[in-house]
Amino acid sequence: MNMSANERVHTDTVTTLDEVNVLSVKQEGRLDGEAVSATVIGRQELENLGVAALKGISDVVPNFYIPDYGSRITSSIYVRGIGARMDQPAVGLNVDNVPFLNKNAFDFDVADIASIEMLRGPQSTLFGRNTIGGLINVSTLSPMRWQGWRIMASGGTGNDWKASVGWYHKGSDRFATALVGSFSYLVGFFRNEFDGDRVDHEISGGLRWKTDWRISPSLYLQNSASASMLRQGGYPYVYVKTGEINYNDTCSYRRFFFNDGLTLRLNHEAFTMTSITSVQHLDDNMTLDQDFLPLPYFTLTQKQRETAITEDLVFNGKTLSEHYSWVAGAFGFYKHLDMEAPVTFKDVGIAELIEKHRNDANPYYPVKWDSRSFTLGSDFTLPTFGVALYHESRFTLSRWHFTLGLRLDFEQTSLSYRSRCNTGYSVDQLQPDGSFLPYAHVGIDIDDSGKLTRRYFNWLPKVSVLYDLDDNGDCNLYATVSKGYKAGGFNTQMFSDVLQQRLMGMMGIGARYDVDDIVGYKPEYSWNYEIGGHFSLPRPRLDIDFSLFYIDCRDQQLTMFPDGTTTGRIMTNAGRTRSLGGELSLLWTPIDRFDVRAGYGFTDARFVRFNNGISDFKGKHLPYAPGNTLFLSAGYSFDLGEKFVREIRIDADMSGTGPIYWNEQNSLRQNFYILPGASVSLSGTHWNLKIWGKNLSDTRYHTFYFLSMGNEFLQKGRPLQIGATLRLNF
Amino acid sequence: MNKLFPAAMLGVALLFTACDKNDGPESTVKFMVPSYTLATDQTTGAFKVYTATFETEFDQVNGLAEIEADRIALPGDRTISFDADDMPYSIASFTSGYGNTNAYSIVSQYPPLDQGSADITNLNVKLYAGRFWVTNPNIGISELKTTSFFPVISFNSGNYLVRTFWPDATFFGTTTTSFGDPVTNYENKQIGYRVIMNLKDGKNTADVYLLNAKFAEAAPQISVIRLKELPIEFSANGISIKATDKVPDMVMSGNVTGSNGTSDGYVPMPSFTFNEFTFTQTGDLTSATIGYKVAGKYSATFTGSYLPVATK
Repeated sequence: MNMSANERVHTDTVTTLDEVNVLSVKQEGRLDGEAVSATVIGRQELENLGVAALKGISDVVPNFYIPDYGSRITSSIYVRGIGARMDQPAVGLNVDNVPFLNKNAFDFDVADIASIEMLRGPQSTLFGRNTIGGLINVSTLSPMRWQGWRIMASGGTGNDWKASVGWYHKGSDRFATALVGSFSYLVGFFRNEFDGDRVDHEISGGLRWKTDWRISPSLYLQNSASASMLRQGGYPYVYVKTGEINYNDTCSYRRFFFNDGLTLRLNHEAFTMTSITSVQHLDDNMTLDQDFLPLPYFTLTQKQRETAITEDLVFNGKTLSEHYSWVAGAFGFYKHLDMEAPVTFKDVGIAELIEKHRNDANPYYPVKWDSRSFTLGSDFTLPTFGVALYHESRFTLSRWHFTLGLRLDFEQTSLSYRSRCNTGYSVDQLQPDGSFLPYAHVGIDIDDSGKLTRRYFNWLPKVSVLYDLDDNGDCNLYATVSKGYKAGGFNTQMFSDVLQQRLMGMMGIGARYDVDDIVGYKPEYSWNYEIGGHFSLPRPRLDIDFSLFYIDCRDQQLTMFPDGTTTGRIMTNAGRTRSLGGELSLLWTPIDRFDVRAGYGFTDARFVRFNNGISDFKGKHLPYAPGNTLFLSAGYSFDLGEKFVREIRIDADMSGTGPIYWNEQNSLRQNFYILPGASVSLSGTHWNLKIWGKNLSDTRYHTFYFLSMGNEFLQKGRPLQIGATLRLNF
Repeated sequence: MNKLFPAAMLGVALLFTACDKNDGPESTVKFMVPSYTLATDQTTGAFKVYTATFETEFDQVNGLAEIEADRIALPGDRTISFDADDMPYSIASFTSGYGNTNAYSIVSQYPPLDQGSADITNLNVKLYAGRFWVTNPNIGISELKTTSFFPVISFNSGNYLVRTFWPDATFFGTTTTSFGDPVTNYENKQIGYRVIMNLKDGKNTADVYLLNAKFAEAAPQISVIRLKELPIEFSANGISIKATDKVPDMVMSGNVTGSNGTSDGYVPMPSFTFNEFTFTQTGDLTSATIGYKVAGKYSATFTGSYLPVATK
């Protein structure tokens, strides 16, 4: 069963009766019939937009922003002012029912995406931890829905090449399987002035095996296993003072990720039970020239190996009456992370960051390091587990729909650490004639270890009411109040700084960190108050969604740069923040073959109470979250009849983002910018060729800002890119 | 943990010392509290420093304390002993000015009902369970680690004023540094002043450690600056330490081997020479004023106390 080239998915769930996805299991209906602000993008539109990864829908979804910077380990996501640069994600991600637990794996290419559903606002009652900003549900194409071969090849400027091959086979009405492989290669856009090489090169590949099996009329099984590998450079950071990308040490990121999601659904007279079991394994390695200067200061390597299992047992009550339904479930997970994060100090780093500070304070007795390189070693083991029980009851009274939900969630996370440093230095004594004589030698052998444990218990309620404006439920208004939760954790990135300061302290100089104060950060909580509406008019087709929200956030997790000549990042809890704004989405088909999509999000996110001991940031905008997102697209298809080229389609789009404040002081910001794009595609019976362009205005903009040793760095956004994509489906 | 530790200590003490007499319930806690005393003749100005031990006992059921002192040395080779009973006491929570330390105090709020066996007036007793600074040999700088009791006791007996003092006390307060032209003021509440007195064999010297010393916003923070073997002067007013042109040391910890094969873990720091240094303890000897000039450009004044700060 081939789907037509123009099949378009509107703002309803795309799941068919032959598939089970976790969102449909728990929401049990069309998303535009729920009290939630959601955007659904179907396969055809994803292909039109050239979306291969989550970053592709940044801005397309209102108030949803994923900056493209660093490497694929840095998949920061911001929704309604809520976001995270590191550690715990603010948005949950499910791919073929597998809840991704590690944010490092969020940025990946997926071939043949059937749909992406993005729910904004906390989804913690049903989906638990780290869905404080929302939930993304990615479903890949099912072999029950499509059979045959799907081949894609794409090339663009920057030597950006992608290819995928998919084989979809339906052996019977009860069994279907698919095997999809993908590959991408990018030479890159940005050069390192130090050696002239491209820094953002990338090579990746993946394999997915998906099976749907209707074992019996009451028992359904779906399994989706995928493995992917990635090798890339990354980190095209521009030193603000020189305007150049210029660093001497190698930067790279490599990742292997495997996941398998097994979904079993059992239909019983009284209920439906769905069991979703997943296994995930991540093995990655990030290496950084952490100073990003053409001088040998220091490098960081971060190796992680994480294995996780999850189990979500969902029960849906059979409708006893047309007025009541319910969903309840139990969720548990365990993940085990082993991490090594050595920082290697090199010649200039030792001279400028250690020896100089010490010798400026005591020039009569200067120190000199024994060797011009040494390592601050940090090893961590982080086992984390959590269990939760949840329930939602849904009541219908005429056109009124009420939902009450509650989740009880417990989580325990531990950190076992070992910090090591073995080095030494000599102390000389200045003589009256200006010469130096040996005074002492100091050997340093630090080997610290310890274990910290944090436990969190949460209750995560949700109340909503929805009113149908018509009998079909195509138009409605809703109001919802829900609580969101983002897990607490440990600042493993600060341990090298702690060790460095410890080392300096042994030399008699430097500020001391109170380890207990900085190694842990608390969970983040929010109350989300929202009103909105969904309007779907049949002819001409017009879908409008709007929402207005107010988020009261406590202990919002923020990435801060510690003062001084440090390179660490510290996750800290801002006292209290608030975010208010709105979203408007529109899908309009005024005439056949012509459609318009628009999305606008406005967010005003500010600190209500946050004083870091140095400055009071009350009233300042939250950094990194854009104030506005805008997306406009229009496409028209020309029907050429029964010819080799049956259809020509022209699409134009533009996305806008900003302003984005880069620091808590709001002294630096990226102004609102617009990136226009366009494509022309030719389609035949079994093929489609698209010529596309992105950032056609070659707009210069920045996607990231940070400090390292007090130096400012920015990353430029990708420049104009033009390419072509060929798809063969047969 | 910080709050629990002193309380747990009291609890352990209770476990070992509580008794249940036949004539009714009674739970008492006894502590033997060593301290130094400075006894001064308010008429002649003569003084005597002595190592005394106070025996304290707390009746937790009735809220009454007893303190007993045996032969505290006074000027002129005299001694004084007393036993004060039935002093009402209370327990309060305290926090030190650094490191989130918590401590409990036991304070006699009223004059003792029984003045004891000696002619004692104006008896004031405070007993703190506090955490003390110890030098961590691994990192060479002081950390709050141990918990112990220390007394703040004063009383009059005739012409004599007797006050306890602590020979290893760390003072916290506000240091204000002035430097430059025009003058810039820099305020720092993180600097601690640890004064370790060596009173054995009449040596009467003190090593003064400046912890987390930082004299200007742009200046480096020095973990520990040591001013070694400064002379102590006792008088009827209290305790004072003075020095001029003293070259301090800075800590260097680890496996330190001096060029001559030995080292005490410190290295001289001529660039931070203390041109002037004065330390004065008066009153009940729990607070101090410190003044100094460093490197010819930083003039600093400090006022602070080694007592924890009451939190409620």
